[in-house]
Amino acid sequence: MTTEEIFNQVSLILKNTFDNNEIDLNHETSANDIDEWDSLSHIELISNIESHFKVRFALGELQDLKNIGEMVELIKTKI
Amino acid sequence: MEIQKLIHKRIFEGPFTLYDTKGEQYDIELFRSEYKKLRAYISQQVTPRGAVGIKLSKNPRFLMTILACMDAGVPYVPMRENYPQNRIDQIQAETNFSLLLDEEKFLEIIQNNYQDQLLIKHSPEDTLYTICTSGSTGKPKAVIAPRRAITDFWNWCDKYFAEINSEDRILQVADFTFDISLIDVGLFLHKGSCLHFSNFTGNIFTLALEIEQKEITFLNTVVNNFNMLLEDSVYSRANLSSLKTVVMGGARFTTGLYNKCVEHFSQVNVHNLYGVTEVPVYSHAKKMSFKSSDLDNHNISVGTPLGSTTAIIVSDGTKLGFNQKGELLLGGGQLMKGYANDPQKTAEVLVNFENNLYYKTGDIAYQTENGEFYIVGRLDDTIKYRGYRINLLDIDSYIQNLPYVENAVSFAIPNELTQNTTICYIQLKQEKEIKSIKKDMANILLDYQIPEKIFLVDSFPLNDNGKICKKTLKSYHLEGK
Repeated sequence: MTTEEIFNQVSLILKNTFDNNEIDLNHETSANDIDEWDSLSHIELISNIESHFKVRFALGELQDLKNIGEMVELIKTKI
Repeated sequence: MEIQKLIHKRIFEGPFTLYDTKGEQYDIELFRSEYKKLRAYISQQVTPRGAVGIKLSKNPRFLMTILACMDAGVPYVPMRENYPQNRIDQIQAETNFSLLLDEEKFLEIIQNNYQDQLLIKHSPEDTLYTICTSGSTGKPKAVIAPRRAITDFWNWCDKYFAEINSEDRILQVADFTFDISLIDVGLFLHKGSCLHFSNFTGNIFTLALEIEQKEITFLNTVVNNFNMLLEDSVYSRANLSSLKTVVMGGARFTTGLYNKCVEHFSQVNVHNLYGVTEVPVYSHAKKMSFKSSDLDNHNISVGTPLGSTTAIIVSDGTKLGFNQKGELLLGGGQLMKGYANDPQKTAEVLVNFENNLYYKTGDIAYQTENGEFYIVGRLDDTIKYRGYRINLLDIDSYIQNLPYVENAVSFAIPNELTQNTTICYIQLKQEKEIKSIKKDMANILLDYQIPEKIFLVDSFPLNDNGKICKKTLKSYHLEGK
């Protein structure tokens, strides 16, 4: 899967998780840019991404993620 | 033990261990040397009638500055590093601090030498700190805490947490603008436990990893953070087995969290604490036994008044007996001095009852025959609906008892027809249709208690301290978000 394909799928999961199709996303987007992206919804987002891509993240990997681009790169290393 | 004596004992006689947010250990001798300079500077520059505004990042230097102020007998006003200028200006106007101690000032002080001052003995009534909370009008409420309040509270911590010692590792999660941070500081001073400053700012995976990597044994944070830590998708990938004692407070201990604790924390000492900023830090404590004695009906006990705190329940100017619901009033040694710059508000909330001074908490509570207290709602949450008086928080706790409900938050929107429209937002553990939820509610609530409109949400908006922000939820609802 290419980086762009993963990004597109992550974007869709994110919009579904936050129940908002209007969110404008790019690789630099982070939790600070999206109102709905709070502590609790972050947990749900991670679970949804894991079950969609059938991957499992370690705690250390989840601590360091700064934006969607980094999330996409992490997924790429696992599929 | 009085605060000044306690600080001297720990800082100068030691030993102590502090780690900053990067995991680097603060050198003890460096800490002592910087501490003396700070204390000398503060003593020279600010009189006990003044105050020091502290605006530093959450790290050992913030702690050092707080302790230096306490030692010098100069009140301090804690602020977050990222506060905008208008917030700082508001706080300055309320508290009148004359010295702003930020990163730049701190570095300037420790690069110079100041003659250590002769320390004066402090009175229990002297102001220790002023903490600003966000008032409902937008103007901060500046709570003035006297030295006696924290002396009493720390002495209680020393006795109550008897199992904590110098081998323990405490994670300092709360920042110093939140008074619950003083539990960690009190145990650091009394017990000499190792204090690790946490990087946690909302990403719960960071908190879980810190507990695991630093092998934290004592964790004191708000109920909501524990709720997230014990979520399956967090708990299942974290090793929290080092935890021996956890302290939860700052919000209602829900039955959902109680059940998670039964499942995951059966070997951990779990304490449910209740308190208000005006009676720092906490006024009630309950060590969970995970037996039926923790609960009365569906309510979870907050235990008995701690230390020198006294608690009574009143209604219409009369003290109530056991099992009668009324407003909780708190008195005793931990009572605040008042609100800075607001004698009118102070007079409204500090009242004389049977020749003793009490703080009107605005919380509705009752006490059972065994002495334990239960918080069931807020006076503000009591509304008139179709002619009935109902308490929304009470209703929330019933709804939270439904096995598939994670959390429920109700509020009312005034209308002319029925006085109020009742709205309830529910976060579910598993899928359930609203129609079916309403049917289940009919089995546990009276018909007029069932919220008119129910909405399902994935999560709730939180405030800076990790508590559910009902005000934001209500404004989202009104804006149709």
